[in-house]
Amino acid sequence: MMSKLIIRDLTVEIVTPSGPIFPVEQFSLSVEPGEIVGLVGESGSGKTMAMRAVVGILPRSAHIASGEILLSDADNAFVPSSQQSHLRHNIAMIFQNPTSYLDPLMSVGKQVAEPLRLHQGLTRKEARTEAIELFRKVGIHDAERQFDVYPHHFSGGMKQRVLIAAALACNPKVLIADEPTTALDVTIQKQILELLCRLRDETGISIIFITHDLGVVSQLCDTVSVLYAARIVESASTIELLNAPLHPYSLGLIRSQPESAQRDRPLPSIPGQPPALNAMPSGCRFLPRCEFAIQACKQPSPPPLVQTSAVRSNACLRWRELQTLGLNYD
Amino acid sequence: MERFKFILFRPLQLLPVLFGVSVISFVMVRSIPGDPVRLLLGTRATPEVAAKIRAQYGLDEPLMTQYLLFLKNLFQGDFGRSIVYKTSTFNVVAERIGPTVFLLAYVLVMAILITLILSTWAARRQGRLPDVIVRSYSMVGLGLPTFWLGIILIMQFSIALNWFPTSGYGESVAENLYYLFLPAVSITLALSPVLIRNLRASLISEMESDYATAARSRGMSENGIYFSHVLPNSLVPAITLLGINFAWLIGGTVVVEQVFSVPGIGQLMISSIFARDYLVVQLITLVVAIAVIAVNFIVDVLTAVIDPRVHL
Ligand SMILES: Nc1ncnc2c1ncn2[C@@H]1O[C@H](COP(=O)(O)OP(=O)(O)O)[C@@H](O)[C@H]1O
Ligand SMILES: [Mg+2]
Repeated sequence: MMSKLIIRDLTVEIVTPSGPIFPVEQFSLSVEPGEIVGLVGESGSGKTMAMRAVVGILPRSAHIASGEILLSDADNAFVPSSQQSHLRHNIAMIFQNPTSYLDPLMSVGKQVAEPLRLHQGLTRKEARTEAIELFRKVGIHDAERQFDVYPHHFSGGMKQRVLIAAALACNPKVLIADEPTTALDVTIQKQILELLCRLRDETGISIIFITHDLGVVSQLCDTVSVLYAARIVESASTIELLNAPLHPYSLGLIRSQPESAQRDRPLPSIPGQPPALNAMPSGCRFLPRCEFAIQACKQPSPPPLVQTSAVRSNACLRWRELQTLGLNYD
Repeated sequence: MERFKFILFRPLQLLPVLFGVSVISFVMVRSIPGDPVRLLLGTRATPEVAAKIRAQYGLDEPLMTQYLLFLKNLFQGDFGRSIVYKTSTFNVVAERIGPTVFLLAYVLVMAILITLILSTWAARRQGRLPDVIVRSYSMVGLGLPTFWLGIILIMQFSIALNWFPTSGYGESVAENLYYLFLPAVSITLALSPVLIRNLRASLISEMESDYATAARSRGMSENGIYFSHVLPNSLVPAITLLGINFAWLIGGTVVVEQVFSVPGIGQLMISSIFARDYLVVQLITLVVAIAVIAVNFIVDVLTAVIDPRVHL
């Protein structure tokens, strides 16, 4: 059974002694069944925080201030976020640093069997059989024997496979992969990406893939959303976004990818730094670093994300002009 | 195999430590000014009688000879005679060790239960009233001396309310639980704050750990996460700390046995020091050293059992 996920206007608030900060603001994303959606943005832009809110595992200090998270059920009806907690395992997550996300004192097999026993009410023995099956599915060889091994005997790539198996044990409709390969070697990275693709093809699971590598996005993702300073600035199909970005920040990201650099020129990077959460500029948050900024960009509130076509949205006031200008890589 | 070897060979490493302890206790107890024979006989004894007794216990030999004799006898399983009790020191100590072991076990059970309950209660409700109460308790309790606690408890619950006896030791387990309740409470009150502080802090940090977050993302309940991930991971530092505090615990027992007149080896130790009953003091020191080493050994084994990354 496949499900569609809709995240609408999600805002996450952290109350600090010097006032509230919002690491995620007005975040909207929809994920079709079986789709792989990329979420890109510089580190600190709020990717992890947004997805933790969706899964229901925000840190203690943070909470969802507003917004909805809806997941369609068997009758294609959308279940509101107020019932999220009992739906939590329908959206599973894997993480950037697989080592710290596994309990060092519990065998890898048990950690996969745990959700099986919890959600499917399996006995210890049935869960073991099922977990071994999941181990095979995620490409752990000699699964039978590896069941009782402790995490510290596993390499990073193998730990990530265990985490994927544990996530699949929840039988999720959506899998959120938060930079799952950043901590891994390039060859292992490729294997994990292939595994995620294969899982999508075989089971029809939807995937939200967080990365800052646009190369990976172009290989893997159907659509992509770009996050800057807690807000989505552009959403489009991968092909459209990579070939014809309509937001200056998306353009900057594309230009600063090593693949798009020209031979004897230094890698162009976006000048300046993203703003801190407690010192957001008024108006467009990219304004201080933007080469296309005009007076109107300084309006009091950040420009909202508007639909620019059936499948695209954009938060730049000048997107029409930029379209005619034809943003390119030079 | 590794584990087996450790359990087999670790006791051998004990020998040099015990040798050191025996030398130090031998020298220290003899460097206290005073003469056991004088203390035993009082001022009226004739020098002849005193010399006879001194010879009988080998106290007229040079120190080195005395020590070698002590060692030689030790290897033959002879711990020497008590000058006060006129019988084998082994019997003297064996007779008095029961109450102390009982008291230590009582305190351990009490302290472990209280630590588990209060730390859990506080950590699961971090920042709320239970946490504030437990934190205040561990803050205040940290500075309280055991003897003072003991005296306060006697005044309140034995003298004012008459709920508990002021002193002594029972005959059956049930009686002992009753007689040693206040002594055990006063040591527990002094010991538990440091344990609670430590366990509460590790529980809280483990609850916020990444693997707990991952388990939460898989829909596990907070209770499930607590018992299968958070508690086991917090246990290793807690057990280590308890092991480190065991020597302190024995010190506390000596004090409390004195305050509550519990006829244990703590009390025996003090009276033997006052009487300069050298061999009794030396034997108790050895027993305590063995107990401390044994406890640390148990801590190491438990740690390795809980944590697969630890090799013995
Ligand atoms: N536990 C926390 N408390 C306060 N601020 C946090 C916490 N975790 C993350 N942040 C802040 O929230 C912002 C978003 O972080 P994050 O979602 O981790 O970014 P990304 O995953 O895109 O790198 C950052 O500015 C970060 O400093
Ligand atoms: Mg992140």
